This record gives sequence, structure tokens and C-alpha cells, in this order.
Amino acid sequence: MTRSEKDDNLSDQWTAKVRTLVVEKLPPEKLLPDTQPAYLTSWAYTFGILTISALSVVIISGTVLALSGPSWWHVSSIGRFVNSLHLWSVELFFFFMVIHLWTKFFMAAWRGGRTLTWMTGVIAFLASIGAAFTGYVSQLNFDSQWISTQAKDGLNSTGVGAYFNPLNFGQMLAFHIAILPATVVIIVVLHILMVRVKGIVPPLPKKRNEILDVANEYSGDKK
Amino acid sequence: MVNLNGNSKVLHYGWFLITYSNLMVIVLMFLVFIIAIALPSPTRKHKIIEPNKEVAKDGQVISDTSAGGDDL
Repeated sequence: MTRSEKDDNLSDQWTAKVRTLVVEKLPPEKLLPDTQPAYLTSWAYTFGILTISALSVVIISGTVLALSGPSWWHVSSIGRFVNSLHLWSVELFFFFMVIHLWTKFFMAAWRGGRTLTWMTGVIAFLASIGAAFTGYVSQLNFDSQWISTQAKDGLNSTGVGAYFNPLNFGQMLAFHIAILPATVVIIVVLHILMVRVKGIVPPLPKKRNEILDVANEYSGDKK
Repeated sequence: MVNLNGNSKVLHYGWFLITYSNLMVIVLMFLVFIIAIALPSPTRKHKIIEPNKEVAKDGQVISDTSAGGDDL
């Protein structure tokens, strides 16, 4: 078998097809670039990485808390410290994520075929709210009891109470330490990969009439 | 400085109801957002590469797609 015949046979395999597709869509120089466009030199472009940094601390502190059990932080000074670290990193995570959302919303970041990038961001945001909520009701204190009884009434009115019950501590803990964090992390990874594939969105033009041109072009109302 | 274990104080005006701590966080987010847009980045002083332009070592522009509508 000649080299080219061998290559032809290999290209029929699904692994070779997936590899070709991945490298085509996301070559190494795009996955880990060493240069970026000039418009990135703005504070407005820093909130995505700040959100990811806060998420890293959330995941690390949450892993320590999960491995030590849900009541550990009540009875140990180190536990209280790790719990505080978890709480404040979540506060920063949402703080930076909301500003990231504002900056991207006001520059219409879904332009240039970036719809999937935008949508993965939306899903990550919604999944994060769910993760934060199930975290609140997993605290095993009066606060969590109050929040879960209030949320139970609201959720039962929508009909999801049979599948998502805030008074069921085990279910809430499973959602908080397994299902929702995994969802958030997977979606965030997809979000970052989409940013790499499509590139970071350029800012809108400074002049009003140029912005209108962009808006018209995007809505299909081309001159 | 701030007692986080006490009862939260709320701002209540008609239908509008929010704790002062939440209101403070939202105001702070607005401030950081505005500052981030207004404040020039210190990395501006570095040599920057024009977007959508591929430049050769001698400085000559090889390709320029900035006029294209691909990104819009």
C-alpha cells in the first residue's frame, strides 16, 4: 500500500474526519493566539477573563467544601474560611459576568456569525443563576430554610415542584455540586472555544451614521 | 465595618423594594462599567497590530479586510 492510499483509507475514519474538522475550525494559532487585534486594549474587554478567574476560585473552593461534606463549614474555622471564599468568589463571578454581559450587549456582540457565542453566554448565565440558587438552599441554616420555603411556593405555582423541590436537601445538593456546575463549566468552555473560532468581536464604529449602517446591514436592510 | 449577620435594611418605595446591600452592588457595577469604558487602558502604549490587517516584516500591508462586511 502506497503512502497516499494509506492516507485515503485513514481519511475515511471518523476520528480522522473529526480531527480534520477540528483543526480546520480551530487551528492551534487560533486556539492559543499570541497576538490580538488593537481594539482589545480596553478595560471593557477584561471582564470575560475576570469572570473566568472568579469561576476558577468558585470551583476550587466548592470542590473543597463538597469533599468535606455539607455541614463541615458550620463546625470548623477553616471550613468557615473556605465557605466565605466560596461565597465572595461567587459574588465576584456574578459582578464581573453582569458587566461582561453589559459590555457585550452594548457592542452587539452577536454580530459576524457570533450567535452561538452569544447564546452559550446566555445559557451559562441562566445555569449560573440555578447553581447560585441551589447553593443558597444548601447552606443548612435558617437562611436556606427561609429561601427554600419561599422558593417552593413560587416554583410549585409553575408546576415543576414534582421534579425540582427546594425542600429536598439531597436533590438541591446534587444540583448544586454536580449537575449545574458541570453544566456551567461545559458551557463556559464551549463559549471560550466559540470566541476562539469566531474571534473577539470588534467595537461598534464611533460615528452615529456608521452604527446605523452596521445595524441596517445586520438586519438585512442593505443599501 | 458592616454587620453582615444582622437583619438587612431595605429601600421600599411603592412597588420598588430592594436591600441597600443589593442596591450598593448594582450601583458599583454601573460605576465599574462606566469607568471601564471611559478609562484608557495602560496597554495602549504598547505597539499594536491593526485589526484585519496582515503586515509583513518590512511593514508592508499584505492583506486588508477591514473594509469588508464579514464582521458586521
